[in-house]
Amino acid sequence: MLDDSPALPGPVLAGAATEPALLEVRSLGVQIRTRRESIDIVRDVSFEVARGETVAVLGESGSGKTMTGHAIMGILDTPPAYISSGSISFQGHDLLKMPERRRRDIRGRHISMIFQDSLSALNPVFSVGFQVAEVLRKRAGMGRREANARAAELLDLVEIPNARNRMRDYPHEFSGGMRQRVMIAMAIALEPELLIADEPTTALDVTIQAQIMETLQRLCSDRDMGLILITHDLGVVSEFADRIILMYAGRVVESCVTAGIFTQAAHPYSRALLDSVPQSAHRETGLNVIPGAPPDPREVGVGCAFAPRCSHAMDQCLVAVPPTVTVAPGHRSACLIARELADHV
Amino acid sequence: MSEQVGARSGAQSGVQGGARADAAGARATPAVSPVLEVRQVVKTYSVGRSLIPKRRPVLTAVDGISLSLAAGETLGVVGESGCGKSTLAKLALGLETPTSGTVELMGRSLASASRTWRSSAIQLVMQDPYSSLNPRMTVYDIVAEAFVAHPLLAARSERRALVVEMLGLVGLGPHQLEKFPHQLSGGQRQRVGIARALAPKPSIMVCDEPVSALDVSVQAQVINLLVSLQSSLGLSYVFISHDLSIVRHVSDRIAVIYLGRIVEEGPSETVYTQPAHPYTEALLASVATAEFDADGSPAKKPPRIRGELPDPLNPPSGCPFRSRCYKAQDICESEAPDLLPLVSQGHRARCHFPEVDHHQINRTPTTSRMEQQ
Repeated sequence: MLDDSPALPGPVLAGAATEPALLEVRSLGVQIRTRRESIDIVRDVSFEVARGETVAVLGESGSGKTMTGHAIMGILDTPPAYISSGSISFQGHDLLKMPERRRRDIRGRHISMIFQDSLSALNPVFSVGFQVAEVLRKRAGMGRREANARAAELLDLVEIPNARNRMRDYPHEFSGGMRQRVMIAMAIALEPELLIADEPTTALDVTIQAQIMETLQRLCSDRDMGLILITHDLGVVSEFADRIILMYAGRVVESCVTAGIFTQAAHPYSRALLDSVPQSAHRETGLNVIPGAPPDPREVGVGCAFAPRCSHAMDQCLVAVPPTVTVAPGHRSACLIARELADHV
Repeated sequence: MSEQVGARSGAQSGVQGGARADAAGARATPAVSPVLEVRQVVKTYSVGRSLIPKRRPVLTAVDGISLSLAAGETLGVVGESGCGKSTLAKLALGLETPTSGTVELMGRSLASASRTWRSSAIQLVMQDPYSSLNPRMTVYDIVAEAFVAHPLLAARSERRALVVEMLGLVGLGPHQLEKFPHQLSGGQRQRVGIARALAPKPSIMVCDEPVSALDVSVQAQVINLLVSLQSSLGLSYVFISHDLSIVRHVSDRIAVIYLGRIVEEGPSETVYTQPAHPYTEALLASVATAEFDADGSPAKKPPRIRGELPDPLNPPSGCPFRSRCYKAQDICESEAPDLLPLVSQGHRARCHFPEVDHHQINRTPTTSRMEQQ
């Protein structure tokens, strides 16, 4: 939530000057290489995350948001996916130049991840308590009894009712929301500084969605943990993110403080996306539609990937990728008419 | 429509009389007989493994729901997963037989109607266009299958032209006839799903989460398509969705379902702007909205719902929502509230303490104003 520092771009962004950001992604590129071709899935993605900050990576399916998350976590399926360019530095250390041994130590202990599908992410043949305690036994060197006690505390912390008695239950005995809480408990077991949540609430009912997001938010602010929230849901973003990185066809098209995208969106894609959300005024007129569909990553040309669907597209848009311009402090957009759009509220 | 159902649910006759007169005076549209009428439908399933059927626990998926749908109307059905919305859809489609109660399609009882007649009267648009289209069939085969199932609808020689017509209705061209589903985008696949449902010329379509599997930028296209098909073909929709902003956009009336029962029903704007039942309030509060106040901070909202849906095998006594309700009192535990009419027209809620008091109707003659005019 934005309770402490509402809507002001200053504090979170300016931090870079004093100490290295918690996470800094620079010009990240991810390719899928097959014998026949190599396809760029993530292109030139840069952003940073500060401690205690929630950054939403927003995009539709195929925009490269999940691949970006996997690259940071170091769990890309290699082959076929490879990091083709860029750097990811965590507390000043470049993760991509590290030996795998050190990388493995960071994974889970310092950077942790929550997945969308909790039923397939949990092992169906072990009890929930065993799985949470396993993390602590293997990684924190705890004994069985100590790990079990801590696991119960963790389950309690993520607001699973009657946690101690539910330790022996199996994943299928939990509801979707409760399983997602178990995932959160496992992810924070080693007290990481950065949490990556990939569509954590997409499969859940709206009532449960809000509860889970509130738990996540509370844990992040209590522990001063950075959160990368990978999602396609503008509503969730508006309530829970400090900043937004909007991706389209593998590139960042706009990045800004959350309120910025709702008050002065500076990219035609973000404008169109906001317009296609039903509001009461649309009842008579019909919804504003973005024509076409998101492109196949194989078919993205040299220019702006959104140009074929864009109502403002010009000839120059097809020639080269528009440069990223800063339209306001901390508000960047990759569009030739970004400034005009930002001024025209 | 809703008044008729209200009368059956056993509300006080005085209130009903008032409401009916009210309706006759205020309704712009003439009261036509409903195309779909669901009366006091109950559907139970026995679950569990006991060999003795009587010992198997009984799950009541739909618990006495009454609904009606007028020609050209869209009824939105909202609720959490497991509340019985999909069972209700199956009952309306005749895919499940009610344990008790009746379903009537255009005045004909579904129990006695033939399968062919039923499936040409009511059709389903499914949620996931990735798994609901047979990957081995071409677009032509998928849409033309309706004519195989209903040979009387079209002679063999006319089928191709009709399939092209159906695809034209949903915005696909004849060059897509020979494509397989994997060659189409998600939005195009859902269009094929809609064309398939339209082929037997139904008058009612049940849309079960028709856009939730689609990308945000494509959802609006499909919603607009459904809305324009409705006005050009005069379809009636039962629109099931968990996305409350989309339901509000498409629906004329909304029914909110909780543990197999309607807890609130009314014109969609009334339900959204003046929710009477605490569950509806909570549902609306839970939606993460992209709304901002003038100063750029997120819009203020009422408190959110706590806890999860109770075990449907062992629902709470009295009002089923009381275990999560902030208004719950002793009476909610001992007595289940009835679905009673509220002050505003066609608006009903099943609550002892609704935001707008039903009893107001009895005390102050709000309804008689209409009668005088």
